[in-house]
Amino acid sequence: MSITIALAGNPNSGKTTLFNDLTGSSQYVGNWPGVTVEKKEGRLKGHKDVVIQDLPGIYSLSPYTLEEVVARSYLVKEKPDAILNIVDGTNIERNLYLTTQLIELGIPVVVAVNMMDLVRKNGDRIDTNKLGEALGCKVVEMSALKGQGSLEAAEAAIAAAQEKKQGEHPHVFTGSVEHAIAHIEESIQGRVDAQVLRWHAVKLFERDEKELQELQLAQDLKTHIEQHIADCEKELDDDAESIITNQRYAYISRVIDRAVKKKASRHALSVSDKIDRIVTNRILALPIFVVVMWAVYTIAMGGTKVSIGTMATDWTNDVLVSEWICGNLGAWMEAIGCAPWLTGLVVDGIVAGVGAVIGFVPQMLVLFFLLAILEDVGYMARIAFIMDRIFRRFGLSGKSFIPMLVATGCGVPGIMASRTIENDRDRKMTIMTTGFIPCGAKMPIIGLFAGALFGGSGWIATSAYFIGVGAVIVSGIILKKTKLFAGDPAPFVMELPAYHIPSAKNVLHATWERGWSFIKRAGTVILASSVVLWFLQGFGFVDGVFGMVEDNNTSLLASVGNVVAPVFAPLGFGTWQGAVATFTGLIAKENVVATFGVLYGFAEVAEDGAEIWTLLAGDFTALTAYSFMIFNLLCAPCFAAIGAIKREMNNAKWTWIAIGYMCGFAYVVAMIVYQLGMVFAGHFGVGTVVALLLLAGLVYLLLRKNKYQDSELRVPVRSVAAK
Amino acid sequence: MWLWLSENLATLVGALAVAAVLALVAWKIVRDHRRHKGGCGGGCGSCPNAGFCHPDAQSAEHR
Ligand SMILES: Nc1nc2c(ncn2[C@@H]2O[C@H](COP(=O)(O)OP(=O)(O)O)[C@@H](O)[C@H]2O)c(=O)[nH]1
Ligand SMILES: [Mg+2]
Repeated sequence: MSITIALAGNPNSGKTTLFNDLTGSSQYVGNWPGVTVEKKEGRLKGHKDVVIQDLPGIYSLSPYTLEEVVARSYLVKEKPDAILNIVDGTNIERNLYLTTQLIELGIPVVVAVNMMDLVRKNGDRIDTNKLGEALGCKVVEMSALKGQGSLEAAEAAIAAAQEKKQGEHPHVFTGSVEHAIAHIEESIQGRVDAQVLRWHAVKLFERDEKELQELQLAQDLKTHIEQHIADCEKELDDDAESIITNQRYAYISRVIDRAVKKKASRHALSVSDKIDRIVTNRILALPIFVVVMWAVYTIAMGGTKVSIGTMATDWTNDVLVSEWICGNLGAWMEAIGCAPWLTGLVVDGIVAGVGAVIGFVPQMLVLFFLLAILEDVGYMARIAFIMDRIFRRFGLSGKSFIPMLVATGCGVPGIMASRTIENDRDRKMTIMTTGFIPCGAKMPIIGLFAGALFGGSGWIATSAYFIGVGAVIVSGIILKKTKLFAGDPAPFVMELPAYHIPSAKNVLHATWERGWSFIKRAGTVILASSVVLWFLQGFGFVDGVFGMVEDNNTSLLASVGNVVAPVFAPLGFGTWQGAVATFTGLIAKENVVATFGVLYGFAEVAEDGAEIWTLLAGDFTALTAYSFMIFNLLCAPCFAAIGAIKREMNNAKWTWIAIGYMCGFAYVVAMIVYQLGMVFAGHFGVGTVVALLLLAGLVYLLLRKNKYQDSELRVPVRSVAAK
Repeated sequence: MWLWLSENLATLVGALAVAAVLALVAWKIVRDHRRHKGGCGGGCGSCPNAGFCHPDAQSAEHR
């Protein structure tokens, strides 16, 4: 017989950490709430017949958010054999709110108080026996991160499931409420299972819409129930939902008084709070964010003494790829008598393309490592909070920013993370703008230009990141003022987890996963497209005869590229190489770099020991390079991300709107940057005028009055920075 | 004939090796595509929504 144990708890209480520990899997442990709405299943290590189910984090069982709907319908409909309720011990009052609801479900519950390491460090004491008595269920202590008590918690849940014993329902509510609930129980008896009678009665008392829909009660029964609710409301002079909420909290505070001893007084600020005072300060928050990101990009991709990533990348490029592989491989192949075309294919095609991309792996690893630390420490959750404050002013929800934090790794999961946004318009808008954030694959493009044309300044990558963030904010504001996207912001509960020392396992795992998949792609997709490109740039018509060409400017690829290139001329990079790279970038963004590697003969230049990207630098100025970079960062994402957009939009028209918008926006921004930049170089022409008009148009769209917004912005009730 | 072969042996072997690598790459790309894998650059293990792509590969034994 198999047993199913569901892990339920607030976001960030450590469910996934426990899940990974118990099942031996390596699910993503995010340190911000609300990236996932799915439930995951695994088997308990050493117990093949025990299924562990990880649920999305929830604060309550009311159906306000998608997470709540998913978790609630699983618990009520699929009825696991036991619930293991993970409670964050450092935040026990708020966490027990959900507990009071879970014990009404009629499923055996075991409460596991997690983060005991922190509780002890704070000097607080939690008496699990008293807590268990008060709640009517077993309570255990654990520290999922340290692996202490995890297995015991699981075993307690198994035991509870086997006993099938559900605890006594504790007296959570006062007399008149219990009275009304008892009457409701009586009237719906027989319509629902006896076990869940109380749960349904409480929900009916709260006039829960989903519940009313599902039970389909007859009209006279409804009136009867309504009478009891109204009586109680009159007596307590409050509405039913608030009565329940308030009494739950009152009950919890009685329980806490008995079972928990806090060392610090309630009002003392914790270290996290003190840090947050500065980090999320209204004025300082953004500058600090900029400085933090600048530091990250300087260490990963800058050209200073601390830029570990760049040093390693330079070594791979200059020594490993250029000298050892390109130089020696080419000479060796010639020596053993390989035909020149084969040497060309291998050295100028495969090695040049794949090598150009592989060279950036060290920079990427360092970048991912630092970003993973920022996330695990808890800083990224603050960013979402800061962004929520900015977004909310424009009728947007900060919930739209969580997918973008995910997208710094890769756009595909970022786009998928938009599912947590309930509001259809906001979700569509988030899908459209998430791709603006520079993902890992776009990093080589930035690294390439920063190195070749900007002396490796860390500001190039930092500015690229903030152009992405800015594009999201600007698009959000512009789109929200159009008819298609107008509407109130979705409610967003953003709770800031306490800062903590990053876990080496989480950080290294995330870094490795991303780095390895990048290397794998270099060896497959990039390799294949380098070979194709090498052929295309190596053949063409010379004097009317088709064959190999000496100069790739006369190749077939060049003539095709030259047809498209004028489209990009107003952006400053109207060369056929630039045009071709922009299109091959659709296969995967790092392919832009591989394409340049093949087209500019990365390997050949390297053989002379010269600066490897000098030829490329010759075709670009700092300004055109920057404009090229902006366009390629913001324009249509790679095919994989386009596929994700299509799946999430589930509609061809909207997919095209999204892609069209991204390309259009990229074109406009790159053009404004290039044309206005040219003014500083003393050029003034038709292009300048067009760019100025576009800029004026953009500013107008940004600043115009929002016709669709109510004169008074309705701020949702539940926007809190808890703790 | 033999002369031609021995003169071009290195090229032949090299070309065969390159062809083999390309065939392997093509096979891998097609297989990943069929399995709906490797679409994104993040790696699926660290993806918060991995379950959407591989609903069956969830239980711990598959890893
Ligand atoms: N100090 C401490 N941190 C923990 C513990 N359990 C989890 N965490 C951290 O809390 C954060 C959220 O964990 P996660 O498992 O993703 O929570 P979920 O949202 O409930 O799935 C992560 O940064 C974990 O490393 C614990 O027992 N002690
Ligand atoms: Mg989780």
